Amino acid sequence: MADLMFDYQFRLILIGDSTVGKSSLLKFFNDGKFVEVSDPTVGVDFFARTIQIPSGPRIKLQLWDTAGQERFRSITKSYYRNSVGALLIYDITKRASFDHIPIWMNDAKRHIEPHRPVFVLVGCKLDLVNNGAGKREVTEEEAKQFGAEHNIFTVETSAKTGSNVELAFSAITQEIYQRIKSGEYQMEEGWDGIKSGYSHHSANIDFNNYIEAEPAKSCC
Amino acid sequence: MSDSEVEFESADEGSQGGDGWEIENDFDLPDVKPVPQETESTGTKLSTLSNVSDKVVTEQNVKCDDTLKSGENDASNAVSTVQSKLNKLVVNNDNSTKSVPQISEVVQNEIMQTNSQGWGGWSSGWSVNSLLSTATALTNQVSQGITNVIGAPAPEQLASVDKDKEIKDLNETKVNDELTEEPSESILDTNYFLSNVSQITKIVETTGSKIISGGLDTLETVGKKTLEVLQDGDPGLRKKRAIFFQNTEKINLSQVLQEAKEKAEIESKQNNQVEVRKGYAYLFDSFQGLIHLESLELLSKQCQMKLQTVLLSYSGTQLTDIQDQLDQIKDLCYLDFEDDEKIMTIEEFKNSLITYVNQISSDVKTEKILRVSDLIDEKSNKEFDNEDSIHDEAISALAELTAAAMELFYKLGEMIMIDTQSQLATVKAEKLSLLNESVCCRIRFIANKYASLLTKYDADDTSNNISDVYLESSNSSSYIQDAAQLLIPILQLSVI
Repeated sequence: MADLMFDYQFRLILIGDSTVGKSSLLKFFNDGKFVEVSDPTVGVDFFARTIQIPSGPRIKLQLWDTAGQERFRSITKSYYRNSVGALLIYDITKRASFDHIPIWMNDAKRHIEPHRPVFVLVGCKLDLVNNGAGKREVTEEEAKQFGAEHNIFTVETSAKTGSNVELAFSAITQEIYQRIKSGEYQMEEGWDGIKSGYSHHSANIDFNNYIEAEPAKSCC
Repeated sequence: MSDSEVEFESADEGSQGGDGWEIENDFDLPDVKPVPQETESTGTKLSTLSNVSDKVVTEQNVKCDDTLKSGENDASNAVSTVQSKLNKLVVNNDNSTKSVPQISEVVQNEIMQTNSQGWGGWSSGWSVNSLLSTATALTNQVSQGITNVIGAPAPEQLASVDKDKEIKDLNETKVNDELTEEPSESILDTNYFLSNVSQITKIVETTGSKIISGGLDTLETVGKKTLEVLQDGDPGLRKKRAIFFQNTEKINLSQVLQEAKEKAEIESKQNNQVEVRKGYAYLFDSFQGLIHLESLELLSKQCQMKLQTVLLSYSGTQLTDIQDQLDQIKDLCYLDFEDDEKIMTIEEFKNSLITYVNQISSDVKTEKILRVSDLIDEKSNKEFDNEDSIHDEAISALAELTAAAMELFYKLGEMIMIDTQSQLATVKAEKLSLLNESVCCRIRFIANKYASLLTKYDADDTSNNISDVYLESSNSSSYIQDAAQLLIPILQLSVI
């Protein structure tokens, strides 16, 4: 059961090739557990967790775990629009999954328009490389370079050991919160990417006033 | 098109002789043409007409005889056309009891006579009226044509069309009268002719403006008609709408639940309750029922829109066939179960759930809802300290099972959307109905169980608590049924 008091709700989507570890990453983030065997995701699965930004608001994350399989693409696409950010997931032991990242990124950009989505690039299965069970096919430098080019945060994680899992989600949450503070993101009717929480009623009213004041300013 | 076209022809012919026939060719429009084109060509013709009338002035003044001769030559060519025209005029007038061929002979003779006396003059008088009538007729005709194309006109339109027809008939009568009168007039008189020419110019002017405004009216009519047709002209379309928009009128179920939850929160805040008494809607949301319901609504809407687009590309019997198919699926989803009191024990529920879900899609996992069901069963068998905790547990159990059902339906929806091959949609629809019924039976079982636990108490609140449990139980059932119906468009789309 998700925490009930929160200030904002962000909708995030996890995308990437099939079997890169999206569901495992999310399961660890959600339950703190790693499941050795997991079935391929059917359609889109949903998770929710509330996290606290240090000395900031409480944020409920609605996380949409999409199926990587091609046959589900028509369904997963419908979830892009109402997302504010996307976690681009690849398997560091599988070159192709990293090579496909630009495709996933453009897909998300196209569907999240007119909003500019926040991305983070997450490499999975770090444990396999560290314990020698798998061979690294994507170097950390490559990923960092891609991140620098597109100005996105990059991180390598392991859903088995839990390393950096929390970091991946808090990084994207922080960035979205920054964009709200800077005024780039606003809550909009009919868009579920960002919503204000129930413990945030007073702030919510302020926010509405702010939006209403906007056109008045521009017309003068 | 026929009447006014011929009138126009005769008008051209009259003022013009040889040149006029070009105009006639221009005017040889097919019955139904896009309006803008027609208006355009009318404009061209008008300019030609004014050229023609200029020419007529000079020709008539300088070589009146030549014109007459050419008129004679052309007249013989024109006879057949004029003849048919005149046939009509005469028939329309109903003055004659003669048979049509006879009339045409007579008319032909008349024309010959007219020619010998002065073709140009005769036609000048003729054209004045015919131009006018042509202007009105053209407009009528265009709008009539549109009406014919688009479908049955509205009663008031029919009335106005009738009126226009009357006017037209009147004009025709007049024209016909003049036809017979004119030969006796001294039409070669130059003054008379000149005045006629200026009259023609004026008429061309007014006709022009008439046609322009007529064209605008026509465009307006086209727009109105199009809208009318889109709205309810075509019964097929209406049927389509019935399919598409059946759910749009309803407020989303998820919205209702969301509002209920928010209202409860605000109320509890107002009452300054330290501990929020967790209501059904609130629990339903926290068990992630709301989010899955919303997702199911999203899929459903998406499929409905696709269905709409696909259906619009069909027509006639094809459309009817498809609609029958869609209706069949819909009916199967609304299967009526007579036994409202039927309940299901945990084992019965498990068996039927697994059977039905696998028959719809083997990819959908039943573990979660079965785990929830088991957990609820466990909880309901434990010892309770007090009445309120039974009540709260009951509400929570109902909300949790309903939420799990939402997730199950959502997953089924996804699979139905993806996997259109494995089973017939009708089979899926039927199994879905049965599955739906099973979940409702399980809900009733839970409600009954908690209610019987509550009856052991005999406090003031007991009956309130019991009716509360039954109320939420019946709410749960209706949410489940509504959610199952969201699958209808998804199923329907899978057969197209």
